[in-house]
Amino acid sequence: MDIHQILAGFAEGDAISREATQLRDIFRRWGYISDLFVDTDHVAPDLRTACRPLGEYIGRPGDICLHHYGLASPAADLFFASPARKIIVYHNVTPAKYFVGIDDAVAAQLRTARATLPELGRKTDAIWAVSQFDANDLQAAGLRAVKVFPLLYNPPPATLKPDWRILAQFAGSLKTILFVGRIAPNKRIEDLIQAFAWYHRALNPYSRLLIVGSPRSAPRYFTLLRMLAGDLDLPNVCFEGFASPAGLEAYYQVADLYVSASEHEGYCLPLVEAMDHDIPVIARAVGGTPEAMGSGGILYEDLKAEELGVLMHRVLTDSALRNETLRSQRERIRKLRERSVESELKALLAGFLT
Amino acid sequence: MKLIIAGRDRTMDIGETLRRAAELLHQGDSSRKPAWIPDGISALTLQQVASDADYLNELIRLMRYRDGVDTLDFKIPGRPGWRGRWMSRIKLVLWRLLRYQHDRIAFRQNLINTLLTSALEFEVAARQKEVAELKQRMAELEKTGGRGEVKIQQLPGGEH
Repeated sequence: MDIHQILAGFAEGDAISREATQLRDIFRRWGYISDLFVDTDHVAPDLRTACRPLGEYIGRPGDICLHHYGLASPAADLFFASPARKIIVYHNVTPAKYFVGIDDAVAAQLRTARATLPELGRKTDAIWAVSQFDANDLQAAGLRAVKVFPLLYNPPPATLKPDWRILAQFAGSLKTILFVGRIAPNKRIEDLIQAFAWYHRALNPYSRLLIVGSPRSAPRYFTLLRMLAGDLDLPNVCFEGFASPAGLEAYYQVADLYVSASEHEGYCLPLVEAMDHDIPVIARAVGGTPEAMGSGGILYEDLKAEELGVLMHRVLTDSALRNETLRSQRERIRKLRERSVESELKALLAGFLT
Repeated sequence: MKLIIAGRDRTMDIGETLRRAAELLHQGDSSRKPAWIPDGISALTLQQVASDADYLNELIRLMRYRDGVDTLDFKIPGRPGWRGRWMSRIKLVLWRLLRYQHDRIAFRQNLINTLLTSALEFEVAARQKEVAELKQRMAELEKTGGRGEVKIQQLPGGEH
């Protein structure tokens, strides 16, 4: 029996790719043949050896096949057609409304993916969701037997050295506020920029906002954000683009505060990464975000831009509040590190492995 | 407003102080507030578009308001203390010395920006006219089943 995984894309630093790699390593440790099959059009050239093309996948009735689902894609079609026993890992489908006018083709793909949700139960043998929020989303679509398998967090290896060029570029005494994630409209980066405008103009001109993430998935949204930063006269908003693991490590090292205004998240792994780097985290309490944060960090709802700006200032200047936040985050990370992934996985696969 | 810090609801204490501090910011000096952009020309109007095509039209409309390099004075921030004050003064003197050259470069850059925006507008208008003509031609061809003469209606500004 083989346990393979099918993915729509594969990229360094991507949460789904990292989870799939971690699962593959576990399956191999258990003695199974396990590979990742990915649409080669959506694999970075330097990662082509880390996975196999979709065309090479041959499913057999006794095998297990996992598919990480978040978008209608050729990978999803191949998965549904496989004769293997099928498990879908649901990473949430972003509501299409965020992409209307920004990218109509992506909006259509998301609508298709959401319309397909009720069929997942009939087409698959098991459904796992990466958060309770995602499980509720599926239950609202009429699916009942959904199990929760929280998104895996794999801390960076201790040997990973931060990119020295980034450390040098952002050295100095400016307060650095960080956001990490795809530049996509559901992340509401415009809210973050407007809050930073209040913080920077009214409270601390010696500050900067680093936005780290690829703009490729929504270039029109990226243009909107650049224009907004210009409108607000904020040269200290730095769009840093995609970061390698060493680059990301450096951005976390130079950050004084992590802020996410994202309005739709299935889980949001960068919040966990920031907490693990001992940076105070402020995040909007939506979707799977409260599950990722646990009882760590700061969660908010319905803050105006200027109120969020004041909150940023308070966390950066009030040492008691900062220490309380950091203590709660360390506790959250300790719990995540103690998680027994293999036994959770064995329990979920109980009916499949015998 | 809701504020949860380290797992505890702090809306009533810290949340309330945030609200009051934010109100004070609103009442403060206008030079210490974010720049205000009228709703109709804010970058955020790009969120209201209904399709990819509308986005392009709206983007070009907004570019018209932004193709000039601003040569206005701006507030040079200064750190507290005598060193901060001296640095601010040095920056102010440097800005005054460089102002003439800066304005000259800005004038040339503005010229290029305006020409580029105009060229983009002309290009989009030409493409839209071309697409409209092709659609009309296709509709006529579909009506005649692909046979016979197709008369193209002259569109405004067309050259047939």
